[in-house]
This record gives sequence, structure tokens and C-alpha cells, in this order.
Amino acid sequence: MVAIALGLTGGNFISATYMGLMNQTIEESIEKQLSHIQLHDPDFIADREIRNRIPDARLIADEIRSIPGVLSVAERTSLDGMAASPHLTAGVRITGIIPEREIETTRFNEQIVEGTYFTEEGRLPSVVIGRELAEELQSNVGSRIVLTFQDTEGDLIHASFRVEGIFQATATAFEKGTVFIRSDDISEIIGNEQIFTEIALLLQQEDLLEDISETLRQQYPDLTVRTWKELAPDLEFVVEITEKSLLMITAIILLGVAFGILNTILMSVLERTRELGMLMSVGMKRIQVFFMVILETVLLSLTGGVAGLTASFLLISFLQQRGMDLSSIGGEALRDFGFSPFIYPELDAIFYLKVTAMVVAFAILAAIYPARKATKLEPADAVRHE
Amino acid sequence: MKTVIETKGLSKTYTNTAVPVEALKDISLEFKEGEFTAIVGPSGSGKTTFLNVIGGLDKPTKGKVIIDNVDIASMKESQLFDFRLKHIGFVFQAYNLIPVLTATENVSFIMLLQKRPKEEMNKRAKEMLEQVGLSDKLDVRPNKLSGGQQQRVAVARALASRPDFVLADEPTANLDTESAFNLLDIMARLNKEENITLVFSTHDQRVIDRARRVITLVDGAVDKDETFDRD
Repeated sequence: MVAIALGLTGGNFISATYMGLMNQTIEESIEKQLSHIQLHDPDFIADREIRNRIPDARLIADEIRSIPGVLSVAERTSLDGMAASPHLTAGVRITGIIPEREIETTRFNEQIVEGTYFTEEGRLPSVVIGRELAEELQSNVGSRIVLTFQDTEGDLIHASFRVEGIFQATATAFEKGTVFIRSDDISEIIGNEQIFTEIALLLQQEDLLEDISETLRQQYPDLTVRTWKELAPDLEFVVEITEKSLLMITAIILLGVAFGILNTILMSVLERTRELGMLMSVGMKRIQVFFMVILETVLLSLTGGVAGLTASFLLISFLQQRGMDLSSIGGEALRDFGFSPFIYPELDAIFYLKVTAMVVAFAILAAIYPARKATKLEPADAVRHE
Repeated sequence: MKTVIETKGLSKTYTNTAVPVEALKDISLEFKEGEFTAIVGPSGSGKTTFLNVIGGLDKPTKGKVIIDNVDIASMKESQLFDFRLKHIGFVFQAYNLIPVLTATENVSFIMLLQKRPKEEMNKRAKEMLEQVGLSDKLDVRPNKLSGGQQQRVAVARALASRPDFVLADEPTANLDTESAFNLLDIMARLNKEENITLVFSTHDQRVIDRARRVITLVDGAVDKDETFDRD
């Protein structure tokens, strides 16, 4: 019983930690980078250049804002380019944003750890870079860096920017590879009207994703509409595989526990040989003995199961509120893989129900052999068993 | 008097041993209603085998065991389970009470298998525990009872379901003299009051001295069948 309780607590805790880690990563990716849905010019997908812009992007963005269920919309100018400091040059994704729109959509301003978020109007236009990139370029707030990208004609443009802020993201790859500037500044540099290559929108609820993306596809047939699942298929894969793999981990733990149950019940049957012999002598049928052993095992396992589920529920609920900081035990390395070292474990009710069903199923499986063994006893011999 | 158990030409040979063992040899006996019979004999004389066969726990190689006009030797195993439940009470040497149940629950257990109404079960269990002098131990579990008290609970359990007869296999073997006499007094009284047919296997002289009929087995055959007036 204790083994079941401890096994379940451990299994659920591992599952909750993993589930929390994955959900956080997905939520952060959606809220701080991808958003729920993005619209692009079809050619932009293969060729991330400014010439593949969205015509009338601001108008389209305004139209999308009025669709029920859409929480916020941000227009962006996303293009590939280079960032150079006196020390180093690095390939980056330059994202031109409307700062106030981006706050509504990705709450990007919350990620600033040094400097400010597009509040300064200096001689040089502002750029916000990731902490990793700042270290690589050996740049600080106030440093000057040069961004290089192609204009609408495909000509290379170099422009100087001043680092106004440094952000920290969960994933180090995002910190290293993305810089943010005002989209107005891009327009000014290339001497053109405002150009947007991307429209990103955040929904009020995740379950509106398919409906709204379909509406947008019909409404804007000339644009490519992609949900976060299409933008980051790896995340979608994570969602699909997480629960299955966690149930598998729990199943493996319960399989180990099931062998413990089998051993315990078998010992119990052997210890109770005389008692079982008496029951069969006085008229209890073999099938009744079989189901009695199964029922006893299930009840025993369920008692341990309920204890384990309660303990894990309390532990997970507590840590869900408090969070779990793994940075002091080497959790910082998680950031290299795009995960946060500060985890909020979580487990949904369906998972608990599935685990309960698994406990019962494993208990029944584990009890079959001892129960069969009990039914094989000969009552006349069993009552005199020493 | 009505015949409760009748055996005709009962033989039992164990063949799963290196040399076949003839445990019972052509035993033909009748047990009348209300008899108090002791089956005695040295170890290996066939006492336990005889009890097993007339209790439907083992099948004879040859012969008949007629109870209530039915030859139980020809019954299928599943029929035997039902038959034992309805007709036979058992008292075992090692008491064999269920440790997690109270005295009342242990006594009620067989009636529960017989699907008797709960009220009847409780009433009868209390009545039987009173009869065996354990009215103050109704809710006590076996581990809090002495050996003698446990065996009295076992007797109450065997009699509670009102079987046609009770088979007791060495019931006093694990008891001290005082407890054994106490138990025998109770069984003798119940035998009279409830007209219960009792068949003991024993080599305990204390039991033999109380029995009104003593059947001695030697090498699986009836050596003596004696009747005594104990009143």
C-alpha cells in the first residue's frame, strides 16, 4: 500500500513537473514569441525578405481586431539580417514592431532585464537585444550596433542602432538570434511607407484556434494563415507526445509496483492457506475465492492509490502555487533547450482519473496469479496447512 | 431415529504416492440424528480421510456416502461446495477463524454465504455466542481470544447455520485440559439441546470419554464400533 502511494506520488510528481515544463514552454512560446496565429505573404515563408510584405497590413490588422475572440493583433516587420558590433557579427532575425501593439500581444516588455523598452527617442534608433546576443557582441545598454538587411529592391542596407534594452527569454536560442526595433525606423531607413511582413494575433481562448484560423483563411485567401501548431510543429508534437509519454512513465512505475503487489498478495495467499481452506471447506466456491482475492487486491491498491493521488495532488498544488526553482541544481542548462529552470508543476484532472484507472487495472493484473493460486488449493489439505 | 449419514463400502486409495496407500477399506456405517460419535485410532488409521470423505472434501475411490438421500460421492465439485454450505458444519483443529473479523462476524460468515437476511444472521450469531459462553466477546477479534475461546467461536460458527451434522477434526488437540472440558461440555449440551449430530476424529481420551459412540479405525478399516450410555 505504501509502495503504491509512494510510486504514485513519485510518478505524478515527475509527470506534473514534465507537464508543467512543457505547458510553460508552449504558453511562453505562444505568448512571448509566436502568438496564436500569424499571417504572411505566401512568398515570405520561403524568402523572409521585406519585399514579400503584406499589402494593406494595417487595414487587415484593424479588420482582424474586430473579429470576436481575437484578444490582440500586432503588425510586425520580420526579416533576416546581420547584427555587428566592433567585436563580432552575428546572423539575427530582425523584428520590427509597433511597441505598444507588441505589449498587448506578446507582453514582450516584461522580458526586459536591463535598460528600457522603446521609451527613448535618441539620435540613433533603438534596438532591444537578447542577453545572450549582448554577451556575444560584447554590447551593453547604450552600445552601438549595426544592423544589415535587404530593402524592398533587394539591396543591402546598413543602419546604426543604440541598444536601449536587453531582454531575457526562456530559450537561449531566441535570446541569441532575435533583435527588436521599431517598424517605423525600418520604414524611415528604407525610405518607404510602413511595411509589415507579419500579422500576429493572440486569441482569448486556445480552443478558438481552429475556427478563427479558418475564418481568416476564407477572409484573406491571398495570405498564408498559420496557427502556432503549424509555425512550431515541434511544439505541437510535444503537446501530442507529452501526455502519452507521461502515462507511459507512470505505467512503468506502476508495473514495478504491480510486481510488488503480486509478491505481497502471493505471500498473503500463502500465509492465509488455512483460512482459504476453511472458506472453501464451508462452501465458498473457487470462483468466489478468486474474486475475493482480486477484490481485496483492488481495495488495497485503491487505498494506496487514493493516498498516493491525494499526496501527489497536495504536493503538485503546493508547487503549482510556489513554483520550483531548479537553477541552483543545474537547471540553468534547461534554458539551452528552450525550457525555463523555474517550473510550475501541473497535472489535469483527466490525468489523475487515468492514473486511478491504471492503478485498478494493474492491481487486477497483479492479483490474477495469486488469485488463481488460491483457487488451486485443495480445501482438505489447506485447512491443515502448517 | 433418522439416518443422517450412511456410508456403503467406502474405500479410498491414494495413488499419488510411491506406493499406493489404502487409506479406507470397505467402510459401511450409519450415523443417526443426534449421535455424538468419536472416530478414534492411531495416526495413519484413516480418521481424517474418513472425515474428509463424509464431509465432501475428498472423493472415495469406491463406495457411497449418502446424506439426505443423496450420494455425495457422485456429485460434481461445484455441487459439493453448495452441499457443504447447506448441510455440513466444520470445526477444525486450528480453529481457522478469520483474523480481521469479530467473533460475531466470524459466526455470521457462513450464513452470509448462505445469503440469509442480515437481521437473522446477527440474531443467530449472538444467540450462538451466548450458547458457547462468549456473550461478552461479540465484538472481539480472534487475536484477543484464548485458544479455548477461539474454538468456541468456531463451534458457534459451525452450528449457527443449522447444518445436518457437524464434523470436528481433533477439536481439542490444541487446548489445555480446562478449555477442552469446557468445550466438550458445550458441545455435549448443544448436541442434546439442538439435536445436532456430531462426528469427531480424535485420539484425545477426554473426547472419547464423552462420546456416546466410539468407532475405532485401524489401517483404514473399522476395528470396533461401540456405544456407551453417558447419561
